[in-house]
Amino acid sequence: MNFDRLSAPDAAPNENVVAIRNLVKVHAAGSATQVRALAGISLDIARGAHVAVVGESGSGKTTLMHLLGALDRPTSGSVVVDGVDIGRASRAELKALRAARIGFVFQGFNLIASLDALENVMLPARYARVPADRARERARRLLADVGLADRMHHRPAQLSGGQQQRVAIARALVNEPALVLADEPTGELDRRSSETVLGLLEGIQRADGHTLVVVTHSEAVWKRAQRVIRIADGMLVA
Amino acid sequence: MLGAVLHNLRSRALRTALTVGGIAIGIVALVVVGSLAERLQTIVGRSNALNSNEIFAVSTGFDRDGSVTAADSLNRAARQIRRFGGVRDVVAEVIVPYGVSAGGAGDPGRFGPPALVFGFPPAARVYQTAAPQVASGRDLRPSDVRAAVIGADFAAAADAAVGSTIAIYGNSFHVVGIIEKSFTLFDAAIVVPFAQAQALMLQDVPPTVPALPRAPATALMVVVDPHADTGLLARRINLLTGLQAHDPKATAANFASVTSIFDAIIFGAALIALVVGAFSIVNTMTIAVTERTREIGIRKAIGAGDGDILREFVVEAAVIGALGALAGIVASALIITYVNARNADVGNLELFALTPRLVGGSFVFAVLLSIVAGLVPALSAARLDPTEALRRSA
Ligand SMILES: Nc1ncnc2c1ncn2[C@@H]1O[C@H](COP(=O)(O)OP(=O)(O)OP(=O)(O)O)[C@@H](O)[C@H]1O
Ligand SMILES: [Mg+2]
Repeated sequence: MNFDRLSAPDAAPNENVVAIRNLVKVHAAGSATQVRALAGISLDIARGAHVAVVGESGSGKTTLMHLLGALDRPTSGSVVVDGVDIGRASRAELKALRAARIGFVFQGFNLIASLDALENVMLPARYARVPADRARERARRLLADVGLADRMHHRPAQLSGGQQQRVAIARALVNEPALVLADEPTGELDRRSSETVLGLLEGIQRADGHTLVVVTHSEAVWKRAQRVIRIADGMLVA
Repeated sequence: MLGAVLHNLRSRALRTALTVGGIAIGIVALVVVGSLAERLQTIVGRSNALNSNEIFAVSTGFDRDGSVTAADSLNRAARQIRRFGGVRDVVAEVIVPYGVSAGGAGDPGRFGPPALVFGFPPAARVYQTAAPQVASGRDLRPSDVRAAVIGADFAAAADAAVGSTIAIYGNSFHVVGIIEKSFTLFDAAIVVPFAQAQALMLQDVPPTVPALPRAPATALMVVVDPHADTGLLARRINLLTGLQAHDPKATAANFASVTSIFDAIIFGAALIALVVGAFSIVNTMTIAVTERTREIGIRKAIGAGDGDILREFVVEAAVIGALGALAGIVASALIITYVNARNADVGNLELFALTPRLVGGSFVFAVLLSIVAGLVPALSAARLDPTEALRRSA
């Protein structure tokens, strides 16, 4: 059902894929370890944009990514992703949004160890209830696109770190998401693998018009983004 | 899906093996005791069918010596019983116990019911609808002389087959048929023509006895109406001299109480299997969930619903249960085959019956049990907060 939305033309090509208003996120509210990780952020991200999110450790980048990825709900304020209000949507709506409209790439240990590369890439399609034949065909094409046509049936443990991240990128794209989120995708890679992985991410953003949000510590990375969002202590820095 | 499950199980092979072994032990307990109960149920069921209230045997309590007066009183009693309410027919039969003989058949070391020589008049055959069938060879014919149809156990003990000749109290009989194994008295039976059974009965009558009975018999088959009060009839028959009757309903009730004890034992074995299996499944699956916390976070981030995660772990638990059940069933089958083979030497009892329903039932039981036990850790996995799961490093 959610997959049907994929083939439907987007309502307004120029709308913002992300709209954040006065977003506050307090972790462990009411406990001794309470942290105000996001302290009132307002932000729009245009469809098709390439955005880098930078900031010191503990500044709230991962917290923001989890909210954009519909994994968490705001303490106050609002986050709207692809037309879905994260704070108000039902659990089922959030699940459907994650499965069909958002692609995730994490830092390290990204893949499911018991599944081979192809199965890993197919997984979001399975969760979005896409017919297996169609999912397999897309997954094969994407793995070929990231240069892993000959690694379809390798398990994560049989792949290098850079290859694993390429599988993760293919997986993030299998449902043609509106928004691709990458939280330090090259954090554990050497320079050459990092280049390959980033090149791939940027390539798909430019070619297919996916919106790309990358969290990074690396200057080399954020310099290539169209837009850089700086966070410090849970707030945007001009 | 199954490939991934097996990969996960293989990646913690020792833990999987221990859990599978735990379930297998429970299943062995269940299947071995269960197959004993299955055998008992067959025995009880067939014996009950044989002694159903339609047919109602009365033993006269006299033996091969001094039987003449008893035979006369038996015939008198038969005429009296025929007039009782609820009685449809009374048929005289000959049942002679068969001990060790020069023929070499009876082995005193054997365990099991004693061999009995039966002689049924043609009238009795009409009512013997529940009697075990002849498995090889043929049944007796009215024209047969010195022919015998023998029970499966007797055939094995006497090493007799269709075509053999056996000696009963010095008389030789030609074996024409073997009766199927039925776990009833017929397993040790030697059925001979009625006239020959009567002759066997009288052959040792001392020469001092002046006159032989006209219609010698040792037992009466009392055929009753379907709704007759068999208990009352048995008591009335017992009042007649020289007769002893058993109420088949009371016998069936006795059997039922024995079977219910066995059912309780199976239930106990099942309970042990349940506790052992359930605990080890909960244990191994809880560890699996902890080890795969980050994986669960990733799955949720890429669109898995709680139900998807739940299914993942429940299927894994069910596969462990199925493997345990298979191992347990194979082990039980080996044990049962071995014990049955050993017992064959001492009485062909075949104490254990590994029935398809027992095998299927224990398999389903093990898988259902594993699913229920697996639900506990699987639910905790499904309810994990994805943001916290993702903050784990592994
Ligand atoms: N579950 C939690 N409970 C309490 N505090 C938390 C929790 N999760 C995060 N925090 C706190 O929120 C703040 C922001 O964390 P976050 O992970 O978003 O930072 P980050 O910018 O991603 O840092 P890094 O660059 O090191 O990944 C941190 O101070 C952290 O300690
Ligand atoms: Mg972070």
